Amino acid sequence: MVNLSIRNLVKQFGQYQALNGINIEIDHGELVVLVGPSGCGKSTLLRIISGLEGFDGGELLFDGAQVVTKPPKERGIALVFQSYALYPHMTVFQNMAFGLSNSRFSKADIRSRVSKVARSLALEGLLDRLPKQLSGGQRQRVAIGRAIVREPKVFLFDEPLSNLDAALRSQMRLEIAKLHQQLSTTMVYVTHDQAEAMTLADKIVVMNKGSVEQIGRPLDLYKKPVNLFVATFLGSPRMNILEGVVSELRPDGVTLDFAGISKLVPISGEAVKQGDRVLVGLRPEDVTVGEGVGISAKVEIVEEMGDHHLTYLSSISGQSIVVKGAGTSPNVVGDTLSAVLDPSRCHYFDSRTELALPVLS
Amino acid sequence: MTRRNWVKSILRLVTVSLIVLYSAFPFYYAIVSSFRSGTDIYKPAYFPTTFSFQNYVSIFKNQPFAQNIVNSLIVASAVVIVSMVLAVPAAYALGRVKFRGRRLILLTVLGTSMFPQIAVLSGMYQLIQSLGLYNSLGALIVSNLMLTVPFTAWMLTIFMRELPKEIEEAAIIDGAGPVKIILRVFLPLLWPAMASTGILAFIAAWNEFLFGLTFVVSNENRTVPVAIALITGTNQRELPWGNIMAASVTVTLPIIILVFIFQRRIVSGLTAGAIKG
Repeated sequence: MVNLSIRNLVKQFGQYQALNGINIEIDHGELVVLVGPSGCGKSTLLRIISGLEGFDGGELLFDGAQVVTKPPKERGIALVFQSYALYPHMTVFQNMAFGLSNSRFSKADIRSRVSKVARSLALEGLLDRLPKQLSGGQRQRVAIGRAIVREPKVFLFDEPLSNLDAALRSQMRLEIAKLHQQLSTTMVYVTHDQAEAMTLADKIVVMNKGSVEQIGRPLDLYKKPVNLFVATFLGSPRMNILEGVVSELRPDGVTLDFAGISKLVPISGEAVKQGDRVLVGLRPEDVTVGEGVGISAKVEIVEEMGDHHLTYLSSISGQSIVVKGAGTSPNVVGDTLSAVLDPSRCHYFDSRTELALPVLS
Repeated sequence: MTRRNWVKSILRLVTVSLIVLYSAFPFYYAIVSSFRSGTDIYKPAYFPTTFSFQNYVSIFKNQPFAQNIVNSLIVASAVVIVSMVLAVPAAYALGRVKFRGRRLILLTVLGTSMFPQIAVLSGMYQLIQSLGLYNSLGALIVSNLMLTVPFTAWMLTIFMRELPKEIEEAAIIDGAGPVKIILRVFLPLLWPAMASTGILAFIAAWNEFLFGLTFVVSNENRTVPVAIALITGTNQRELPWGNIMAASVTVTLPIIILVFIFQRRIVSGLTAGAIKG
């Protein structure tokens, strides 16, 4: 087990700044998920940690020691690739044993370690097969087995589940979570799937355009996003964003005009002034539809999911709002309803800086 | 079947037949002629009329033709082996390692194979002489390498580039150095590519004529193409067509056998199952 420190890390590809000053502290035994849209630099960061890629500035420390000059094999890391990257001409056994044989383990030692890992991943019957004779999920397990068998100090995953179909993906997600409980090794996991990030992570690092947007525990990020990007990136369906204008400053908040209504919201009066534009973010599950004073809107589409439903509304002022409700939907397409929201559950962002505005508690 | 499809398939059949006829007819004519004897050979006939092994017997009797075949086998095999030993590491460097001047080297490699053989003949002669290889099979191995190494290196570079980068990176993570990556990971994956380039190199060396004619003077050390060209009749004016045809057919067989053996290897894609799937 190792703790990782990434300090002010900079990476350039020619003129292009791929990472501009990344700072992340990863405690030993922690599972940290790097999440962000494609091109945000998360895979590059992972490859830098693995040693496959160098960097142009800053520090990378394993347990406080610089690892810049160390090649991958001396860092005690293992990397699971998105494409599995199994050796196609080697059997499952040989795939898992390859790394060990490079480290001069004895034959008996290799055999016992591989069979132990194979047992834990339910690969025992497949040891003599070639990768092409395996299903996608089995290949992924072999790739994970190849990583575990070397007992690395740091486990790196590069979008390991994105090639699997939905059912298999949630199953493997569970297996990775179990794996982390068993091994309690430091893990860094890259994904663009926010559901994987939310469910697996001890700590999420949201990245965008080569910078860290926010670091924190999954629910903290979900409940208290520091900016618009984090707010809209986490959560599915996406958070609704409505634009409003500050009309009055009051001691208990400010009055905000948006989507055809005027509402007292708990934004600190010191952060805004009259006439400022504010973005109101509300999660689909925090909006209710029906009786009460709310945003008047027309039902456009209803999606039934069985256990819950999504209603896509279009407000009179033309803004679209998604509402998530339990059970089946009573709403009919074409109806005009009222979307009711609780100001204390909304998120507020400065429309210019896109940073979260301070809220009165 | 619609009328259109009908026309299409007939057209396809005709085209394929023409190509087959064009490429196979000379060889067919050689086989037919090789089984004729005496003056029959000068009468044009498209179908076998007589059948005799006389020509085949005489080529082995009147000159060291068996020895020539062995020579060719030695030269061609050695050329293939040495070419591969040189071309695989070269292809690794040119295909997978980034360094300044890589493109220039690649173009130079390609450029050397554009020189006509005759242009390098005198220089090659100097080289052969200084190595003390004149009139030996070694001379032919060294000179043929000039023909085979550039294109084997070039082709393997292309194949090497197509191998997924992740597999190489997985091996690096697994702690394998460059030599181990080449031998344990790339070589098995390149096997089909090596088989096909190897056969091309073998054919090139097997058919090579100019170096064979120039650098070897004694009958016993000659390779097959030169030996066939120098087959003489009973007198100066007689051209021993029958013998030449028999000899040509004989030396084509090893190539055909080789292609049949490796055909399946060449076609099969070994990388299946490496990524995704």
